[in-house]
Amino acid sequence: MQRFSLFLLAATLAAQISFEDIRKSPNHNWLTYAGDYQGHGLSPLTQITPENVQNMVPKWTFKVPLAKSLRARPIVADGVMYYTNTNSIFALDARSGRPIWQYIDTQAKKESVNRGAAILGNQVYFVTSDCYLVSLDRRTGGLAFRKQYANIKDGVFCTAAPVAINGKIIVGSAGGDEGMRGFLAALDPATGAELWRTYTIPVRGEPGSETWGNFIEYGGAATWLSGTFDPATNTLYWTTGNPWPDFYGGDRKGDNLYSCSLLAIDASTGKMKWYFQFTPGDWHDWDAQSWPILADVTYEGKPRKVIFHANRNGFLYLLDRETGKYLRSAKLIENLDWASGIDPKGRPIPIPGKDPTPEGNRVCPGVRGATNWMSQSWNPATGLLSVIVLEQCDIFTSSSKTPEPGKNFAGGGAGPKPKDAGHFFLRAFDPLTGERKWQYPMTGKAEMWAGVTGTVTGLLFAGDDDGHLIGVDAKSGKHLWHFQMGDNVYTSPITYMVDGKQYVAIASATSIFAFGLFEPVKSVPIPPTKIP
Amino acid sequence: MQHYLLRIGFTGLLAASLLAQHAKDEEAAKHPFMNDADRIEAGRKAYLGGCAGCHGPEGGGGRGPSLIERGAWHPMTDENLYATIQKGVGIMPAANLPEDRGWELAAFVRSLTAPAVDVKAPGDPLLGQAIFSSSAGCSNCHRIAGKGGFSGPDLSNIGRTSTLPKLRRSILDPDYEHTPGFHSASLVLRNGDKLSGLVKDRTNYVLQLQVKDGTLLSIPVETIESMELNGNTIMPLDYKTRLTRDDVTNLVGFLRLQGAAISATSAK
Repeated sequence: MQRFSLFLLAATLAAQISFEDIRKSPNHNWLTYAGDYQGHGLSPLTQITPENVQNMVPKWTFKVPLAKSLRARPIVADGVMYYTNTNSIFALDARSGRPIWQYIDTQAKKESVNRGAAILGNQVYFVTSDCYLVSLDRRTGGLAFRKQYANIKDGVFCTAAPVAINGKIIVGSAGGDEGMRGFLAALDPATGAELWRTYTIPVRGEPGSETWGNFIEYGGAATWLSGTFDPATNTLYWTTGNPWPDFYGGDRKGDNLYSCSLLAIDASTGKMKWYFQFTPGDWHDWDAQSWPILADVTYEGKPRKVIFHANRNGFLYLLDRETGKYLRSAKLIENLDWASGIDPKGRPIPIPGKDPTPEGNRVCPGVRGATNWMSQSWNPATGLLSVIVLEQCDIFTSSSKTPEPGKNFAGGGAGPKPKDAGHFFLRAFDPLTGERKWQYPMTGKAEMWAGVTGTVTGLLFAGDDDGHLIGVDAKSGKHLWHFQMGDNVYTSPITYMVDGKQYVAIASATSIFAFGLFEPVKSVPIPPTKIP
Repeated sequence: MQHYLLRIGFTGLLAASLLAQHAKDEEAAKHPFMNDADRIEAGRKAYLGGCAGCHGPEGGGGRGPSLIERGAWHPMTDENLYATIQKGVGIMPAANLPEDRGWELAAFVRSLTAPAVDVKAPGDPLLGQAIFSSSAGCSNCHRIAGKGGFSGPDLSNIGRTSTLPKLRRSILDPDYEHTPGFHSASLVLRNGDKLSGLVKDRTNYVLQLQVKDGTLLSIPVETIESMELNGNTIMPLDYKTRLTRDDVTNLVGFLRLQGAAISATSAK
């Protein structure tokens, strides 16, 4: 058995990771940030089940050097896990957690969180905080190239996990809270050369520019979360962030296209096919950064390609994937007081008096939103979409001071009253009707950013607000298993299989944990070893 | 010996962060003598005359601390480094040199820990590349930008991660300091199979072996019948005699640029 698995591993490791391999992920591998191009977050692995998950135990941990607030979700290819931290990446043996190589980028001129890596061919890719795409040999960590695609002097920095598609590495942009111009770019996997770049805010004179007043040049609409991808139509679905300044819209009256939106983009050209704006003219920093989940469903009796999207503004949307047409919406949260609903065209119906004010105005949801960039899980078999949501309200303040880009000015701010810290829930919805099926309430300080991942066995794994990894029944939300990791969790779990053993992995704020089914530890006979 | 990769994890990170800090310090304040090859050479002569007795002829330390390895004194701004040299610290006497001589010495000391790519150095990179790729056979084991072997460390970014003194020493005295993950091992498995390759990491329970084509194997120790670890570097030890002084200078001149050309392009 050992011999078989050893050499099977050797055979697969020699192969390059192809676009087709990524299309088949997740399987034993987890080859892209979301696990799959469609954002389903659902693994086909069946070794760990609702019936045996109570026997799941830690298999290994890896303390990520210098880590304070890890944000990345690992990728795993043929027994090797790749994990990023700020300006660094580590290759680990996914069975044992032992390190194989590391790359520390010593040239980076900025330090920010990093959300993960991409893999294609023999290369692993990640971005530095100062917006260089780094390409490394996945076997050695050797640097193939380090290519700049944006300049931090323009207010841009970079955090998102790149998405590797057929012949392109897609990278995004961050910095929308301080004034910058968001974009999405496709880079050549072999050289890092730019293939196309699509800005998320028009320049003056272009269609959409009439929806802005001043500061259109620094309007934000960053693209700081990886998007989803439909290989059948070669279309990228990418969300955009808030308009700037975040909390004062008096100088940018209008819808501020294409902020707080979902963009459908032709992956060949970068051309926008359609857009849907969730929060026109946003004053609450409700970026649209949450997952556009691509699903093929039967809706109103007919097959339909749709998108599920749980937005930070508190609504769960159902959109037509081919046209961007709004189909329906529902409330994700109970504490939602800024809009009475969504009109038939998909536009929120605002409740007056809910903008930030100089004195402070309590609005629900809070600035962190009803949900955020944490992972979600869609299971077509059960028809349930599992989302971690935050019930919280904030006091929003505004400042009409003339904004200055790059000066850490957001036009105001937001935060909860101490007694109003909020509560996290794991909730399951029927996304076609918006009906909430069950919820799993969490204790804690409302500090986490953990996501949820499912398997076809009916298991959900999620981080909770007390530093646990938890396992719950996907059909009922019943608690099945938990493990305390001793730290806050700001990442989302994955699952993979090596040598016939399924693992579930997640990073706490400082360390990676991998779990699997209990096996008694056998005494290891130390072989005769000739050590010079 | 056993915990190669843990050593990378911590000392490697420290070195990397020091180099990164160095880059930031360089931006903050850079005296015109810093990175000037002539001034550094003048500083080296002054160093040999007054500092080497304690800090070692190549800065490796002796009665005084190492100026190559030690992190405590670095990062240090140029001004502070100059002031320490001129005024002394603890039992280290004040140099009290004329200002330019003091800055030359500071420039030399700074060069000992600066990323090699940031320090001007003699040596023809094109000649060095020829030595690397053919006459010295370095590329049989080392990869640069995706070309070369797997038996030695990938050198694609070595100019950023190493210093000039360390580059030179790694050629002339490769056994001085071992790069973790590049010791060879021969294994006999319990099923009779034999394997050999580089030990990327080893514990009493699992061993990561990289075989010749770059494939990584994770081998549970209970499957191993016996193993033989090679404690010495597999890099040839005779470059000191095989290569001329000029060869070494040119080779260093080539290696120090690795990490430079692939990083300087801007999207704007």
